[in-house]
Amino acid sequence: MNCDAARDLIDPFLAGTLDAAGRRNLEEHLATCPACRGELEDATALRPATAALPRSIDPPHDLWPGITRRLSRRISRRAARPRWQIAVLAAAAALVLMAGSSALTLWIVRDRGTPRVATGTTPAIEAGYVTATADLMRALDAERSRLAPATVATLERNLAVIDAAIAESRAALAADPGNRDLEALLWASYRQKVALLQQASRLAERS
Amino acid sequence: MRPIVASRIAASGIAASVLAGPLLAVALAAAPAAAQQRIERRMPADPHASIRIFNLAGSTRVTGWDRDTIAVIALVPRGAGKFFAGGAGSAAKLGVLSDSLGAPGATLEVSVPRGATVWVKSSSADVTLSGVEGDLDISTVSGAIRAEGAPRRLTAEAMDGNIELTTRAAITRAKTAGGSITIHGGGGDITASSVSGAIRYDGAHKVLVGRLETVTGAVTFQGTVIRGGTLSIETHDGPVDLTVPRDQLADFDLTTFGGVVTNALSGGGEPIVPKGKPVRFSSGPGGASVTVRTLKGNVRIGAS
Repeated sequence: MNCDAARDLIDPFLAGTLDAAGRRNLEEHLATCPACRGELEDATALRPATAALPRSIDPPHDLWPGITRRLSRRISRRAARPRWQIAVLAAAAALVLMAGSSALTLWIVRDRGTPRVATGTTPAIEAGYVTATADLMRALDAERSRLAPATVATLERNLAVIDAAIAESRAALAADPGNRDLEALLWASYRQKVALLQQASRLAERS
Repeated sequence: MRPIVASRIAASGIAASVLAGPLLAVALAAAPAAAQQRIERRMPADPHASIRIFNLAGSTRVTGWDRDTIAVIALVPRGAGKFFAGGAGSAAKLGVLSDSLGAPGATLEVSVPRGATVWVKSSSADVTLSGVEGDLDISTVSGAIRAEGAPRRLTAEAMDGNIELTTRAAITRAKTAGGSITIHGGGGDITASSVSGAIRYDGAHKVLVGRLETVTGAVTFQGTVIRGGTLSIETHDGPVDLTVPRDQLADFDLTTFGGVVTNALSGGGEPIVPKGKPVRFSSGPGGASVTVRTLKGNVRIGAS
């Protein structure tokens, strides 16, 4: 048995669907081939993680504007919100995170070799992040009294760090529009901000 | 105890004046012990029970054991709050509830079935877990989180506390804003995220999917990425130090706009200033994908 044939049998071997003859042939090959033993080790390590992968599909990016509009209307109607609305906002912010990430991944997968992306999509994605963070900030402001002063201080200190990073990334992107790496860094800072605000909202909710 | 001691001292004349000092000292020394309540509780539990533990301040230690029992020893100082424990079989909840954020801290020692799923929520309490093999979900504000063992899935989240994981989980998620994250065991699917804290990975096990992100913190990665796996590191201005085995097969893609790249893996180790132009090289086909992206941080890559 050669290495190509052996590697084809590793997955059914691990899944327990390989017949006895195939198993014997594979084991004989593995006994003499360190490279294929490495493949088996890698595939074995892979199995728990792939089994634990989520089975849902990320929602498309264009869901976010509709969610934002509905949430914004509610925010303007009610200054003080019940706790469940914070949870809704946090979940909605998670949607924009996933959507932004998916969009970015799509560009990279589609066109890895091209150093520029379509700049028309950048403002839409950034607007989604800006809306998400603004909504979360408003929700958090209503619950801020639930947080300990030290927690609020930590939150504000780290938000300032992220805002400074966003400002620098935006300036760099303005000087070099369409640079995919700069965009990725900008989205990473926005993701950090949304995640931090979600975390603070969860803390306020359970205080 | 203190009022009784004080009244006897006041009533005993001259002797009291001689004995008052030592007696008061003894009474005050004994006061903290008397003011602390020790509670022991045992509850039957399924091997894969779901257990929720709450303790705002102090410390919480959770240990997995090979018994179908949850055992708790709680030391609860006066004013720390009220101990509670309920449930049995597939679900249980226990902890110390306090209305005051400034309350003194309680100490919880909890033994749980090894396969249990455990949630621990705290504010300033340090949390330590070991030997639990179910899912772990730990959340604190300023307390430190330490975990050891091989949980199935591990989520550790702090606002300002440090996180130290010596674990091998299929999926690991660690997040802190101002604290640091250190991962010794690792392997599998790992995401570590901080705002200003440092992230250090020196895992003994191969990474399948690794994502390390920070804004201003430093990132240090020392480990191996599995064939076909991915490692992605992003910082704003935190420096990145990457060390992989010399035989690590991977496509490397390193980008910094304001920092320098030092490549001691495939290059001569001289610093270069790429100014946003990616430094790309491959150590062989069919390997992993390693991406480092930073706006102002320096990037160093070397071989172990």
